[in-house]
Amino acid sequence: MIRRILPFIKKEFTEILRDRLSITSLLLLPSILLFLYGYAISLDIKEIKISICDKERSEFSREFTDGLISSGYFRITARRESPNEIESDLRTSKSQVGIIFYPSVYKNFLRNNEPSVQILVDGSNAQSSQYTLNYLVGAIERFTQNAIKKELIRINTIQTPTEPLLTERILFNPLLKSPLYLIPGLIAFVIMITGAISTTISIVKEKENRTFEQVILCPVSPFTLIIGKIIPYFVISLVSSAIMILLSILFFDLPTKGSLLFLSYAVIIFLLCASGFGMLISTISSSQQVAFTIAAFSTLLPTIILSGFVFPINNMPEIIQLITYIVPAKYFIAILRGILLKGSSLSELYPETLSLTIFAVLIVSASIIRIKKKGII
Amino acid sequence: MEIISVKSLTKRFGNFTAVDNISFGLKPLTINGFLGPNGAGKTTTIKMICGLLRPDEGSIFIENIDVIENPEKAREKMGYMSQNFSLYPDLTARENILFFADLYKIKKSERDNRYAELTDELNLHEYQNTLTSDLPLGIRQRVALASAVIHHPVLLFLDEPTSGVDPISRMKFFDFIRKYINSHKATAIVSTHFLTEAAHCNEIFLFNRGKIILSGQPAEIIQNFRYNIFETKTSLLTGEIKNILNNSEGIIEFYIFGKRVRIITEEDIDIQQISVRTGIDISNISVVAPSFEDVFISLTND
Ligand SMILES: Nc1ncnc2c1ncn2[C@@H]1O[C@H](COP(=O)(O)OP(=O)(O)OP(=O)(O)O)[C@@H](O)[C@H]1O
Ligand SMILES: [Mg+2]
Repeated sequence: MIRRILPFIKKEFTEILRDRLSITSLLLLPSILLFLYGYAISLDIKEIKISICDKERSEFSREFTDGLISSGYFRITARRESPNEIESDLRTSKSQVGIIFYPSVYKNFLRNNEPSVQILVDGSNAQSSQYTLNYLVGAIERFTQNAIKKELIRINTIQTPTEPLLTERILFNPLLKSPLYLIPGLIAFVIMITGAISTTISIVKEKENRTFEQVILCPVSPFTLIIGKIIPYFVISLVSSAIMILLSILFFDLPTKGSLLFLSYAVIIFLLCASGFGMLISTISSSQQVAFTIAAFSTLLPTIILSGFVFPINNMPEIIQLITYIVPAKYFIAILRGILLKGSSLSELYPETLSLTIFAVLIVSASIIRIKKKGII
Repeated sequence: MEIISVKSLTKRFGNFTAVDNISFGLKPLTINGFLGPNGAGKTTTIKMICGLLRPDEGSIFIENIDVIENPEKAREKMGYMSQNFSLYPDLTARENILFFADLYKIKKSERDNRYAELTDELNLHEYQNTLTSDLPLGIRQRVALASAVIHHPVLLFLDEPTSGVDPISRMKFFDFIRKYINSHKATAIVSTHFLTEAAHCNEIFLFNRGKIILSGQPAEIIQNFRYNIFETKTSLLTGEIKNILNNSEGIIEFYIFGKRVRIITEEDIDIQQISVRTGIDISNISVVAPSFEDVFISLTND
């Protein structure tokens, strides 16, 4: 078997390496995307303009705004007298965030009354507003907890039960290095391009050129043929994923907490899903255009749109949220975010890992059955 | 003893019958020509014999192997050159040929010997390291041929190996095949549009609309041709000559090329009669020997 596959792998690599443009783009595109995306978004976050309306004018409100500015992500562009002005600032894009401190917010806060700080966020850029909001929520959380601590020390009570004012917190990636948040999605994207699309295209190209007919008449089984097709792209996907992770460690301070073994498992299983898709699609398409279209719609688009890569799944309509359950990239991205950003272990990501593995098994078996039944040409 | 025997072979694509209940047998050490126009069913038949297509009806045996049931069993014996010379465009001639050698697990030393021999015989030296996409059609044909025979198959299936290739290369091609067959005790099926290539074959099979309308040795076929062929130069307009010939009795078929008209008539019509019937001066008419085109046209005329 191995001896039969080797000539295919050798041939495939010769072809791939000879096509300078595609090999360069397969290996470099992901990293370029990473940098473009990474810098564009962190720039976004650094430049966030705030309009403030401070009716409280206490130490509390001053400390809070100072804290925000010192984080380096925010800049106060306007101080306003009335809440209406804040709204018009947002509408005219003078600022992306408005913060309104109502009078006696600090007293209310200590009494655990109605909150009286209002935060307005320009939601027109879903991506960056999500990050901004998350960051602000976290900042408020940290700030209030500090304030409570201080207050407790001041009045010398130790055991007053304190309910958190806000339930959302950014625990991981607290500095909002958003490129880090995107790395798993980019890896998924790259694996789909190389693992599914390139594999499909290269198989269908052989159908079109009729070289498959020639090869099928040699004493090789269709599976040898297909495996010989898949392995090179498998290797390339692994290499470009590794490049992305290395670059992220070097340039974006990606933490290296997670288990390398678990990471490799997740990548390989997801690659199997991608290759399975690739095989299935190549059995049903007769031309490169058809194959590309089917592959783009069934693998690439869901990986970008329905996986939580670009758009947060929580913000999607319920019916779409249901659909995301059949997008393997969703599980893969969740797993990778867990491993890369939080250092989560298998036991914490058990459900996602299981779902991804089941997907891989289903897709690969489906394509094997399909090839057994129908052959490849 | 037949090396390949085909019985009642039928292949349909939807409602369309591409190969319609054909039967034939091939003798070993022969070149067998599948002749016929576009869409006649040559490729479909070849693919079924190779096991690339599953027939709807009929049986195919290669020696004792039932190819339909066990398509893998005869594969080592087969060498196949598909229509339009399928090669990997991004590989060089050498890489293409050696790739196929490696698929057959030929030992490296043996492989290199065979490769050297083939590049010699097919004059491929100067093209070895050129990408096949950059090679002219005639050279690609030779590279494809080398790829198809590097494992020394005893059954050659060559689907229109000579289309788009100049006459001298076509001659050389058949020389190579003949030599190969003799030295490897092989048998070949060669399909072609060129009826003139019938002369290179031991047996020919004339395909039309999914059926074999005639088969046999080329010389025999010409000998058995029952019609007369005349050729005449004419200054008449195409429309006029058509009009005359269409209204003359005993004329099976005629075809006009340039200023000349070729006329196929019933056996009992001689040059004088043709002159009388068409009004063409007898000095302008000559009797010619039948060619395979004439045979084919007389058979497909309806
Ligand atoms: N996969 C297919 N689906 C539908 N029709 C097909 C298919 N393959 C062949 N045909 C049809 O079957 C008929 C016979 O085709 P085939 O290729 O066997 O002819 P051929 O004699 O090899 O012709 P050519 O000289 O053009 O190669 C043609 O009309 C063709 O359109
Ligand atoms: Mg054909």
